[in-house]
Amino acid sequence: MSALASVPRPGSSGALGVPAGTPLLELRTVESGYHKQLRVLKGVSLKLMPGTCVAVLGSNGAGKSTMLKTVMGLIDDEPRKGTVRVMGRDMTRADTERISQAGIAYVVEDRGMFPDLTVGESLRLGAYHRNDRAEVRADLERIFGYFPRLAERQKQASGTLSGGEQQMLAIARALMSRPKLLMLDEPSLGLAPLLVEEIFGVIREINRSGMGILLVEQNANQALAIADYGYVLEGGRFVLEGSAEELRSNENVQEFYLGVRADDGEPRLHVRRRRRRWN
Amino acid sequence: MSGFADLLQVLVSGASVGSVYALVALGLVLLYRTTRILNFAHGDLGVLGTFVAYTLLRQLDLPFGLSFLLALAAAGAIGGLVYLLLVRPAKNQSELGLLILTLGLALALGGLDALLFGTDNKVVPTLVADRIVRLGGASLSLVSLVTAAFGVVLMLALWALLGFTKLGVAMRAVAQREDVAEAMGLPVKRVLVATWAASAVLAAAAALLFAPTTLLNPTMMLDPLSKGFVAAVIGGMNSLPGAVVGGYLLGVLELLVGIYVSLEFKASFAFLVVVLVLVLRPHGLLGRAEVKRV
Amino acid sequence: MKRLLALVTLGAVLAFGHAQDPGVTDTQVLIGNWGPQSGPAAAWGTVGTAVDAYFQYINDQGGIHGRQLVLATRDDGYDPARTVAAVRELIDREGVFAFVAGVGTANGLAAMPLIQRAGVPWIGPATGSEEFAENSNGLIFATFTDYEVEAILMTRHAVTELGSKNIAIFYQNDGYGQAGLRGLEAEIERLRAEGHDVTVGDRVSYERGTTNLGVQALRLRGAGADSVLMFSDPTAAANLVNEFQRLDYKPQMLATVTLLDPSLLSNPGMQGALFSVFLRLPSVIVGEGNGDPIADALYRDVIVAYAPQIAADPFRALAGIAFAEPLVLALEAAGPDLTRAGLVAALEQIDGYQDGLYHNLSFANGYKGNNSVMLLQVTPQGLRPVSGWLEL
Repeated sequence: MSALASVPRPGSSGALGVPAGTPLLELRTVESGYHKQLRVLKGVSLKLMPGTCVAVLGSNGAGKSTMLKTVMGLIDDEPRKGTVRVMGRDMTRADTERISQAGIAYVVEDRGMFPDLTVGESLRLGAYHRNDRAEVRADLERIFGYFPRLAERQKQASGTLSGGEQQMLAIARALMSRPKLLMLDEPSLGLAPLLVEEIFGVIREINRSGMGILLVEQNANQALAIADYGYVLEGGRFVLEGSAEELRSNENVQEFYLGVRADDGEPRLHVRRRRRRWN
Repeated sequence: MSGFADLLQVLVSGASVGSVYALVALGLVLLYRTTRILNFAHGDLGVLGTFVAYTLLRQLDLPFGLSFLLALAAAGAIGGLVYLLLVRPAKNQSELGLLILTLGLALALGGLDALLFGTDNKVVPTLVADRIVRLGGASLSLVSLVTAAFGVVLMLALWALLGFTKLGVAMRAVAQREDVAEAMGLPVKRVLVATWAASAVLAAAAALLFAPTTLLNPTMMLDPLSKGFVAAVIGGMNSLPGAVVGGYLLGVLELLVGIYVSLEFKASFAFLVVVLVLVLRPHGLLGRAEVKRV
Repeated sequence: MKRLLALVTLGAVLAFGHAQDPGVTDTQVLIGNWGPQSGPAAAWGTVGTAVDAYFQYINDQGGIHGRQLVLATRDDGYDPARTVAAVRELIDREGVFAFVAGVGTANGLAAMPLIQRAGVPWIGPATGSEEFAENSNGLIFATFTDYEVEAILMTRHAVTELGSKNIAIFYQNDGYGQAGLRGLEAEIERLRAEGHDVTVGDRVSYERGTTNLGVQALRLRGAGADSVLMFSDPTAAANLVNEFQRLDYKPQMLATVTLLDPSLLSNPGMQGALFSVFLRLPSVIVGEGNGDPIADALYRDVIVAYAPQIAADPFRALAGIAFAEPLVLALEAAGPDLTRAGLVAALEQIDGYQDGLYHNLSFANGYKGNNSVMLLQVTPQGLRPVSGWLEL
């Protein structure tokens, strides 16, 4: 992680008119859910500083995706309580379009392909709100540097790409909007280990170039390998937070998210479910 | 008449009416693939546009081309307003609810036409003065050729819009994954307004091309609308090239059936085709099976 | 005792019967009517307006036997279901003495059973369907030359006067169009028996509401028909004629009165076409100097004077007067003691009446009172008469 310190971070310089030390994203006691009745997030608070990579770990149904959708303003009239601030500005219940233009890009869990659009069209769509044609072209080249395989497939319909290529396209498309914060929902889902390795390598590179990353994952191993800081989400609440190192060394995280046995690590036929106790 | 001249005649006549069917089908499919709405008011939007053109032409004495363009613009504006004022406020309705909404709109627009313009028949002039061109024993009418050509130009324009403009690509994106388009921060509302407007422009273009071959009245588009539905089903409800192919195919096949099989059968032929397509090729000639999204 | 009472009552009814028929008082006669004032056929609402104007005209001349004619009219929007409701109301609530005109074949057929059950006379249904006269039961008096007769007269004219050798028909596939087809086939058979060299080139139908009539045009041209009878609605006729133009096919067209629609007449493809009409027409339609004096007078004194708002639609306006004409004649003839039976008897006595809008009105031999038409040709100057009265 020491390499991070050497990367210039646009957010921290104050060059964008945002005072140094202002988080890219800040959630304060956010409560959110669906249809006004179902409460999924039961008060979460999170801070993401410019240029950092934050991982949110949690199992299925913990509320990870709901959190990202809430930030993005994708659920009508949510969050019902708490505030969402983006670079110091209140964006609670703001329009998705506005949030996006404030500098957040969101890669959805199923990669959100437009199957009939070609790779090239999908990428240019990512730059919909930009009018700096030359810059867009430069960014395209830069992104093809990250994902050379996409460059080869520019004219191909994105529905025909493999799972890994689709994940790359999803990330590349998000980068085309030149976000300050990239939010990724389970980028490892359904991919072979080698591909996961490759994708996380790119995410790390992107982060090193100065972009903030909010990574929601079940694959804690990979996530904590690239994250600076992490949160554990269970039942709609953060039950643990700390630096990536701290989390990696936490016994509960090891057993439930990193797959390390509490005792000798030998395979056992009868696993006695140990109750998780955080604090 | 020689066999070749006969066939040529059928192809030209069929292509002329087929371009009207194709334009209707294109408008229906454009909207359907984006919104899952089968718009029963499609024909009435077209008729309203034609009445606008007629009024500009006859009452304000504007030149034909200008009236035509202004009518297309008016239809587009009305289409956009229909979305903003009626469909968007009802966005949590089921597909059935939206279908009924468009049925209601069809009745309302029909009533509006009758109220504003009357129910008597009106004559809409053709785009160009008609002349007969003879080719290999077949008589080709200049108006038919111009109608077909204009239809093709509009289809190319739509193809260019969807293929080469930011807005067009966004329209396709919204059609495929509205949720993702929204999550990406695309201006989904504007895109939907544009989709409704483009669909209404296509409806008005079809009606304007069709009007000179018949008499303008509020019910003028009933038959072309049902044939447009058939063409859309033939092509596959979500395929734009399919809608075009379906339209021309239906136009020509109808003529062949009427001439070589029977006139009585011609009337029900289109619906037999629908049944056959749905049984043998449920997704149409060029359509794609739809994956139900969760 | 009860039976005796019934007999006494019956006797009283018979003795003072004239006082029992609804709709008649010493000062007025109430006549019912329906027609579309709204909906797809709203233009035909002119008929009802014209009848009303005619009644006012009669009333201003003192009415008939001291009674004013009052018209109770209802808008049915050309919807048969609404016609039934309107007719029921006119019979049960308003208590009309008789019906006059009433637009639409389907509307008339829907209303017919109700009218007959109530025993109400109905004069001049505004439709050329033969159903009404054929099911008259002594109550319905038709004056619209029926479509079959129209086809016979047009065919005869085409063959004997215009020398047609190959005649075809374009018809709507329903009662109206099929009546035209029957007339054509019957007359061709008769003419061939008389030694005329003529054939039916093709019988080309279409379903109401369809718009792609290219096939029909191709078939007619393929048959080489030199004359085409047109039994369609104006929209289909316009479609067909446009197709004819595209095919550069120019047969002699002979169209029924139903097609007499201003929008169709203005179609350049209709130049030279013949239209049949069943009543005398004024100069305003057929050109100054060509008009029938009877029609000219009624147009001026009734339509222009009492209903100027429909003066721009002279054909339908005069048709309205024509439908009411036999009623007025018979009311006059029935005398001051007015009953329905008396009215019907007076109608049945009309024989060879030629002073009204019909060439020759007669109910002496049946309930089709009018079996003549005149042919008009579309010319650049407008419609012009090209035949005398053709009679069955």
